[in-house]
Amino acid sequence: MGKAIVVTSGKGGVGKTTTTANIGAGLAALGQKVALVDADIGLRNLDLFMGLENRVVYHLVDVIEGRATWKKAIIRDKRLENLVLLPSAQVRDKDSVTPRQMKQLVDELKQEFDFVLLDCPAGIERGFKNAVAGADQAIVVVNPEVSSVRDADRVIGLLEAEEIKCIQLVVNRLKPSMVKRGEMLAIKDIVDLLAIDLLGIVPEDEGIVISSNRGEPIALNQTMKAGQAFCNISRRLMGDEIPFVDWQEDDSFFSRLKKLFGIS
Amino acid sequence: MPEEAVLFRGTREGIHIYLNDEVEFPSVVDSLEQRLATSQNFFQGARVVINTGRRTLSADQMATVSQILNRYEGVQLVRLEQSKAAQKQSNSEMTALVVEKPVRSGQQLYHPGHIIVIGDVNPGAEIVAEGNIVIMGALRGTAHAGYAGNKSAFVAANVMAPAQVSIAGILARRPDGDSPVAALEPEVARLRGEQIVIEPCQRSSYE
Repeated sequence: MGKAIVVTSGKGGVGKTTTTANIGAGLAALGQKVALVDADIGLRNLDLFMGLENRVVYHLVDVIEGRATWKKAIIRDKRLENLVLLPSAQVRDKDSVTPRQMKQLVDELKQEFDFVLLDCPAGIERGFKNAVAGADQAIVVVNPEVSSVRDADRVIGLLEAEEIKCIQLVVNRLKPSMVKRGEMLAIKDIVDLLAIDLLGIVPEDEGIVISSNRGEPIALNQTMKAGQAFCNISRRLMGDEIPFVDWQEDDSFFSRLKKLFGIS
Repeated sequence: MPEEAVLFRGTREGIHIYLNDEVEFPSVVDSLEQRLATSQNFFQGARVVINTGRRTLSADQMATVSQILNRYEGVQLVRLEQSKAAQKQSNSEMTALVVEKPVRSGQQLYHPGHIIVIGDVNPGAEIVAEGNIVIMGALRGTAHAGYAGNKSAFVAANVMAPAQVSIAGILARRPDGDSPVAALEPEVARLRGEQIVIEPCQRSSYE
């Protein structure tokens, strides 16, 4: 029996869908059977990130309303054969599904897959409740900004109220240079305030935009910083102990040279 | 003849409204509404102190009262107080609510006694107690102690960096500007006269 993990944040635009797609791809690349479920009904996005939009035939609401089985609705990934996507409906809204129905569906998927990743919509209303209903664990995505941290705190409170015991933190879009200048919240301050375990730190990377526009998860590209970061997160989810990369470190040629001579 | 449910009295401070604690709350509300409606002009722009006698208002009851007052333009609720007897009795007999996890944004704690939090109170969280509040962690949200008018109530925290603190309805807020620099020692907020003063929990004997 697999684990169901909801990826949530409260605030929109912090990178929930990117995180879901990349952790999913990372886990699949490590040989796990992974199902990605787009729980953002009405604002379908996850299929774009995976580059699978023109293969969507049936969607989540079809499955819940019995027009298709989940086996028929899932789309197999182009690159990784043990990765599938259950897309959301674009023409329906959050009220088409109840938390109880979602839980039932997720429980079924858990029988078949090692990991079921649920991409949660922004907000804390019906869509959030649907996405959270079947989850055993949660990943809270936060950007190093005051408003994002505040919303994440609210969401963690709601997850705790739903009796989700394992809640882990991903800090996304860290700009090392800004942290260095003291213009961005530091990781330590965020973790101290939210008081949950850190699962990963993803640096800001222009490659993310390019890869999501192309529909190719960056986690499959180890040469990119963000790709590496997402892979590390996937491995930590599998129980590996991977030290946190200090993205704050300046690894330009000159600073490495300075370190070599012991001046920095 | 039964005693009046609501009594008005003008003082230097403004208008004192006594809510009879021997009359059921709904009838108190009714007569408050009636009295205010009949003398609307009188209340325009008035400063109001509400005395609840021995009664302690719950958060809901408090909301009802302030809703009624808000219907009149310019009416300002200055303070909520209880009779002296009620205050004395309350402090020693109050129970304490102990919370052993962080209080997060959007969460509200209310207790008709003291509240003790083992953990942080984050920005956007709200703690409302009729007695004292003690935070074994950082206070970054909002704390209201002595909610029913107990002026001797206090708020203590290991790291005192609240958005707002109020004691017996008297409010202090964090000054605008950069993020607050909290002292690295436990501090306590108390009422001195009509002002909230924050000072170290324990004064050094060297001073």
